[in-house]
Amino acid sequence: MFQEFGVEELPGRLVFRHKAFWLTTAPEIPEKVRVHAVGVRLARVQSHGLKPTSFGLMALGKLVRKRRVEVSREELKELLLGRALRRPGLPEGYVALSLEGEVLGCGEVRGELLRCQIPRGRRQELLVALAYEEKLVFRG
Amino acid sequence: MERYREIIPEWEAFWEAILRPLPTVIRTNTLRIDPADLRRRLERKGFDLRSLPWDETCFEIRGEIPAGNALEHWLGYYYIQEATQLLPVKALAPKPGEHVLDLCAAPGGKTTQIAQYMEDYGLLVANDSSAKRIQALLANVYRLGIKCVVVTECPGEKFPGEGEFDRVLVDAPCSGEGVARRFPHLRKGAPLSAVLRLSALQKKLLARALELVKPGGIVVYSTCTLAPEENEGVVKYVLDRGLAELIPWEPPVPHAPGLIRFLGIEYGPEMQKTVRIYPHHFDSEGGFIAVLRRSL
Repeated sequence: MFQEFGVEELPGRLVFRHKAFWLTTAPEIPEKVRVHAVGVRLARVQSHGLKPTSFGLMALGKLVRKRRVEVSREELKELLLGRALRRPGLPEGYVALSLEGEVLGCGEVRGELLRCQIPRGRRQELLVALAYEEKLVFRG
Repeated sequence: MERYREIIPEWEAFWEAILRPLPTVIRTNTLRIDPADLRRRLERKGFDLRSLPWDETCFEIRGEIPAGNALEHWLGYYYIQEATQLLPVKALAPKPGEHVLDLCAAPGGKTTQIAQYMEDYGLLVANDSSAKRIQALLANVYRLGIKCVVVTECPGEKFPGEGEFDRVLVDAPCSGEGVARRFPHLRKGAPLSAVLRLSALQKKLLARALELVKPGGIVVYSTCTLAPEENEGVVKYVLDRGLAELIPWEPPVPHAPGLIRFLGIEYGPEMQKTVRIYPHHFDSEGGFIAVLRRSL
């Protein structure tokens, strides 16, 4: 699925585990011990197919060259608050949300509506970060 | 803390440091961004940054907002890590391609630092015994985008295997007296009962680590406590059993050598190869670091 995002070569190998694909550079996985994670979880297997994770898209970063949707700070705040944005012309399905060139995580396009798929806790943290940034005096 | 009056040099300066606010230090996630680029970005947002003289990837940071609330933190461009806590991984000196175990890894500051030393290439097993603490570890590993890590859950003293790792870090659970600047309730010192209980666990952890590392491999034992029973006493336990030898390590910061004796207990001159950090040494927290090589 990451070819759809324009990723030509993954920076590691894919491992399938816990109903998910993980991106790792680890050459082996320890046995006889409970494993919680193998590198970064790239995508979860869901009933309708694969869903990319926000951390996975962040880890791929600049390698994501397609299905990447740039949003403004105001648009991002709307998305983080759970509102949908009308953005006609975008490809249907999962996209990578981007702010000022930085991949932030997963979004989803249905019809003409763009929604945020970043996990709730991370959304709250990002809202706080954006709110603090508004208070800062930019020097540059 | 009074029982340390005899062993802590410059007792007054020690207490003055304990009572001062602790500087905030960040470590650049060099897997994601160059330290100079990070500095430029944060300075544009009004933060004041000062490079640590002994590590150009790390900065003391001051700003109008908490460092943990900046967008760059959310993006995984840096980790907030107290200066003394940067030292155990420097002592461990992991290299790309190696097999490294962080036996008591949560919340992941040292794990992610090890990954940077390894250039995210090799096997880094980040283990912890607590499922709850592992959630914090996972959050940091994911946020910083570490790919060479395998996060495991197991009591460290029971971690399976033998001689499989090039290096092992035992950043042991401890009574935390060294972090009294952040946690004022620790300023009166830890109860001796807690110190002795932790010391028993630490001995098991360090002995196990010396079985998990390859013969001739390196184990770094570190704590953030001042209690000799949890520091020199634990190192002496494995030395007495012939499990390892102490390797001298010279940290890039002012420090004191480990104790030869304390309250009638002899640890021996060998213990001067270990490192004690006190808060007044370089305006940090306190800690203890020992570098050991597994016997062949």
